[in-house]
Amino acid sequence: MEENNQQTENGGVLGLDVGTSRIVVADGAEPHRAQSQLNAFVSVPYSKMTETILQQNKMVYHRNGKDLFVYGNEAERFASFFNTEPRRPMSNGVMNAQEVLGQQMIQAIIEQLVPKARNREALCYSVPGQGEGAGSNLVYHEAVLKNILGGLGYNAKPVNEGLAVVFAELQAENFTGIGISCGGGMCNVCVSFLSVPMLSFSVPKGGDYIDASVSAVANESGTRIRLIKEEELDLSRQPKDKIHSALHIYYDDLIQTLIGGLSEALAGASNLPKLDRPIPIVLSGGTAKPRGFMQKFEAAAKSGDFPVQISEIRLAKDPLTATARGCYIAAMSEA
Amino acid sequence: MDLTLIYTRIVERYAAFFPRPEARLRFFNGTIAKQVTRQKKIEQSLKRFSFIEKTPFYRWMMESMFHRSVIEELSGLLPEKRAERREFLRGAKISLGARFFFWMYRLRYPLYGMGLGLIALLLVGLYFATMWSGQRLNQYLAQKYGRSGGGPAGVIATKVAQYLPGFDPDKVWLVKKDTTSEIYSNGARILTEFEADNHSRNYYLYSKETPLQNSSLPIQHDIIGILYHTTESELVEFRSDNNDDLLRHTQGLLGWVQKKKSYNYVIDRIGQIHRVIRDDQAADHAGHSIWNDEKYTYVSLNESFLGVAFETKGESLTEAQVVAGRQLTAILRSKYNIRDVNCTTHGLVSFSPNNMMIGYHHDWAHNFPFEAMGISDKYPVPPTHVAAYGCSWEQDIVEKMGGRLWVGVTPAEAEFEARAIQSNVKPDELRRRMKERYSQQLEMTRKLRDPNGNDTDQAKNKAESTETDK
Repeated sequence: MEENNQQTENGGVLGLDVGTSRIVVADGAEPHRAQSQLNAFVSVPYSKMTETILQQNKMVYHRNGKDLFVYGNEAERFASFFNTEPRRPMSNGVMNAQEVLGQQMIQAIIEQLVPKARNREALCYSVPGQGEGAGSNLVYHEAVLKNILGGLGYNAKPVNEGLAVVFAELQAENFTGIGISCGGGMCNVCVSFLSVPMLSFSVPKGGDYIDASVSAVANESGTRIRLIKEEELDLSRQPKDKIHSALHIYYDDLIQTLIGGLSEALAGASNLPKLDRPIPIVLSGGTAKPRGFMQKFEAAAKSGDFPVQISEIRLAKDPLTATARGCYIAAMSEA
Repeated sequence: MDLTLIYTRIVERYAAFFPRPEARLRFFNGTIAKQVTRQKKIEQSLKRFSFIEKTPFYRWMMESMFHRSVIEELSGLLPEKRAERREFLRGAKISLGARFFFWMYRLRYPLYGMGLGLIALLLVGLYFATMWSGQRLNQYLAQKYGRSGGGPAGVIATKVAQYLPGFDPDKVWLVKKDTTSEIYSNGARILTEFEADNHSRNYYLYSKETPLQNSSLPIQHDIIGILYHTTESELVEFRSDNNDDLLRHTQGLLGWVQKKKSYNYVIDRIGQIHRVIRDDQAADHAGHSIWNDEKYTYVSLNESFLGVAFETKGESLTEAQVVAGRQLTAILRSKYNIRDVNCTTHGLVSFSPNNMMIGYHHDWAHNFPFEAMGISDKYPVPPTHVAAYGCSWEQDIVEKMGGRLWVGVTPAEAEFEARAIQSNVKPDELRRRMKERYSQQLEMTRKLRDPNGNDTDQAKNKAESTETDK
């Protein structure tokens, strides 16, 4: 296996966000201390010519018998080059049971980002909360990651993805508030009180759900839908075409599912502490990035019936790295 | 208020110590974990008394416990080096209240010590305030009713009498008098057949606190106290078939006492009280002797004390003598307003000025039935000749007294040592000064009686110094 030198230089305490779409590692609490790789790979039959092309383009690949595998950020470029769809080691926030090479590929991507530990340093990695779709897969997912990271010499500990967002963004509020991570595979929610997770759950809808749904109704490839979503979509404006319209609809659906789930969970929670002040909600993750998402969420939240008062709803400083940074803070607190 | 809210407020007060997110997170996690463990333990122990959890006390307890958890965690997370810690604390933008609680916790052990010290001081203060009030009350009552009261704390020879109620005599009065006897209201009869004069009482009072200074007090004539003696005369067996011998011996004794002017009173073996030397006259009973009460030191007690002798040898008394001794004590105390503190025995006051040794006479140096006489025990009282004049003793006197001296001697010795330290001199030097002082006092007393130096008493005192023990 060839390696590009994208590993963190530190080799010390790390935070790792293992998302369905991207894997992000942070070795500091600031956004610029994070690096990421696409959590995807492409496989093509081995040929001397293909390997030469990969080498000429300085792509990271892995040869396994009769196949060549390109993974991480290069996977997308390689997929468009060969006009194919990248394969995903994870789906719906956990290990993809349908993907035979999932575990192998995720390990390769992680090893690309995370150096070997020197002295059993602490590393916290994100895991989704319980929810529809996660189930017992969650236990397997958590154990596989622990195994991979333990193999790299780390003292690895899982942290709920929503809680990691709280750690990264709600220090001024003494880690009291609601952290929501809207990722590719699912959305994770955690209600934290003084850093203690009082309530956490996940919603099996995320960026992939939107892409797939819009792709189906608009009869467009998922890759194109994702590009539109990431580059053009403005949820605060009226949709200009069928695709945008579909994106609005599915974003609305995602937000409604989140708000509904949160209201229901808060109302049903018996262990929630009584609070004498409103608490904030922080949104993070690639799915929360499009312009107008926060306003849409705020509008929906205002109409929702929350048993706790909300002081503000804000977007994380860097939504793509918030979970990894939160994991880093958690790891530092363990060190 | 809900406990959660209380916890939130407390922990947030201290959160500012940690501006870095991971440090703050570590602080929260550690504090909450500690509190949860402690709260679980408490809840476990209060399982049977769950009603307590609904009381304000429980909330207060939890709040205090949380404060403890917070500060314990805080202390553990601060930099170890003092300078770094100071810098850290200076940099943290934290409220005054949080700083105060934090420092109070850091200084908790010295504070506990100070608290205990304050409590001890308070108790000591209360004790002394109570003592002082009691003394003031006693003084007030003494002034008001003319009875004996207390003196200042630490004064020799007063504590025993002062704290034993019931030693104030009842009023006893003369009921009937004829040429040979007096009958008193307590049933006592004083026989006056052998009554005689000696010489009038004349003495000075010396301040107890400043024994080395001459006082300019006027000459005194009042009776201050009672000194109990034994006659050490030959005894016959105390049997019903021996009455003649008993009476004859007593007659002989009384004649001898009258001749030698030895005592003011003699109580014979069948309990008859004989006045020999009239009360206003000094009998020659005490020899070289010193005693003191809270204010004054009395030197040569012939002049200021009545001498009461029991016809006995050794330390045994007949029941009739005990009854008569009590009655006579009551009469004399009532008649002359004599205070309990000044009722003592010859053995406790006698010494030899030549070698400054105690026990020159040792009648009633033990086993005197003080309480039977209606007065307090004087054996625990530090005797003046040891405490103030530094007198010592020889082994033979200890042996004569049954192997040990009375208990007041040990504190008296310590008191003399303390006096020497206080006066900035060695004990021997103070002893020498006190010996000189006693000679001066004796000379002053002698001059009161005989300004021309022809006093027979002086000669008698000198002779007494070489006399063998009674």
